[in-house]
Amino acid sequence: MAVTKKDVEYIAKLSRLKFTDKEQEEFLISFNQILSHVDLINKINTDNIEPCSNVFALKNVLREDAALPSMDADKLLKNAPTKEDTSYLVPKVVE
Amino acid sequence: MDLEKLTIKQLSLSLKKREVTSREITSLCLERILKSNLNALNYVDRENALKDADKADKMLGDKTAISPIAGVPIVIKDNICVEDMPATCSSKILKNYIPPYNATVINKLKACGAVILGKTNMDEFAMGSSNETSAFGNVLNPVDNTCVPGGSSGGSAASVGGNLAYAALGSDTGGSIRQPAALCGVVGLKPTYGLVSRYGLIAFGSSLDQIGPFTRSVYDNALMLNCISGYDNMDSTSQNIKYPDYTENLNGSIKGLKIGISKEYYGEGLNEEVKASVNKALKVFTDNGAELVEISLPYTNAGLSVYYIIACAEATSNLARFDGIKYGYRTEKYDDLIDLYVNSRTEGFGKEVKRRIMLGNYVLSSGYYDAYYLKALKVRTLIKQDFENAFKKCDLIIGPTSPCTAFKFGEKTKNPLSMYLSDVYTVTINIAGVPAISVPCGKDSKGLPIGLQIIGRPFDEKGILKAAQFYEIAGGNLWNTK
Repeated sequence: MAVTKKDVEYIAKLSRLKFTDKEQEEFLISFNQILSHVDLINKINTDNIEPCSNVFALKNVLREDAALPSMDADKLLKNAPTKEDTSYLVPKVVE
Repeated sequence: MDLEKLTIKQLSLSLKKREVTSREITSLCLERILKSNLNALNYVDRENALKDADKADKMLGDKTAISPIAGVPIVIKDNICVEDMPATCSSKILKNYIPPYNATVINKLKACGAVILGKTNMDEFAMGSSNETSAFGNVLNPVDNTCVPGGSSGGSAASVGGNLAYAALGSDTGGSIRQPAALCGVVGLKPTYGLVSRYGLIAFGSSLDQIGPFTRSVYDNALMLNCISGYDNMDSTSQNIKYPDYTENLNGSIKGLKIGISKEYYGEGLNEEVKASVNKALKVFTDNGAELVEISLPYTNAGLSVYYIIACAEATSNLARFDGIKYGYRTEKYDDLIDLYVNSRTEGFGKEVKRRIMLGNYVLSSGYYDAYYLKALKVRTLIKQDFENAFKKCDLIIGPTSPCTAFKFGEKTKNPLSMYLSDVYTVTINIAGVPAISVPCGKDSKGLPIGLQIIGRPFDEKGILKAAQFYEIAGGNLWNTK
């Protein structure tokens, strides 16, 4: 499954990244190289094998449903690029 | 004996006897860091380090210091949150990010009285095997400055190997503690998945990441593991088990120990000098009563493919949070929200990070999810079973950590695939979640260090530490006798 320029453009959109034409060309080459290597897993027989997403299968790790103090808002806002009172300032999203 | 070359065990004794103070040692390390050309540190906190040293000195003087690492200067990889110190992940996108909280491992280290000197340089977002993708410059190998220290925890490995600190914390997703430990000639441990809390570790591959120690000796590593391991309710993948004292009974005999030798670790691509060193090391074990058992880990060769699919998929999800909104770099050029996202991320992330984000989104995207991601998760089960089957026949598996010794800067950066191949012996360990340690086992003809990897059953850190310490002593590799 060779990756095309159109694929790179689509994936860049999903990734919220943009590339110059030259960078796109470079990506195409390294992408196809890497994908042709990882493609070898498709030759492996995995009939009746369950997928493993968590090595030691911990399930439903929950705590008591009790309200606990959150982190201090001022502390959290210290890293805000722009803020006003207790809000982060962002460009208008809805007209 | 030069003070900066001591092990923690030796330093701890001197500190307890008040032959030296933590302030003196801390000042010495700070001086050495200032003069060092290794570029191992992104950030040094002189003021707070000396404050911590004074606190430790008081406890050592009152004899109220309980931990052997009280007063010992250490450094922390820059993807682990230390409150009020930057956590940059060596990326432009987090250049000015200052965490408002400590990672659990940091709270534990502070409770033990360790002195945190600063944050170490690393491959950007832990993506790399040579510390050449950092936005803040390369780290140099302390043994040969023209060579890479390995990655992604290059700064941590170089700090310990270069005598800038007595221990360091790193993180290991596909070999990022073990491989730089091998290339810099120090000890590096990746614990069993879930043994050390990931709360406060800026995530790369959440099902693969583990924090672990770099030290100059195996005993030191056990000391550090005692401090940082433990159940944490802030990490839902943390294991709630009984945690032993990892320094206990490290000296026992290895007679009868069954060591698994996997033919897949001695195949094509393994440097001849590395192979010879590993074989010499195995002889030390068998001369002392251990038994070599032939095993096979047939899915080893699929490891890199499985790793790069899963790690990139998880990374792309984990790095989606870096959008310029709440923290980190925000672009100045935008007309709307999408522009803000795209430009902040494009300007803030480096080339390798962008490559992996793209790869991750590709393998997760509609039409490809089954062929790549789901398939990789199934082969992951097979790789896990490889180890389960092997450990029915042997107690430990031993082989080389890295197929080569430290390479020159720029040697592998033009071809990403050739860089990825550095991890061939380390990635399956993260995929299966088992523990592994790298210990020095000699040098090649250029004087570059070689690492021996010892892999154990899940939660058998004691087993791998015991074998590692045995080899360290019997193989003549104790740190300051070399």
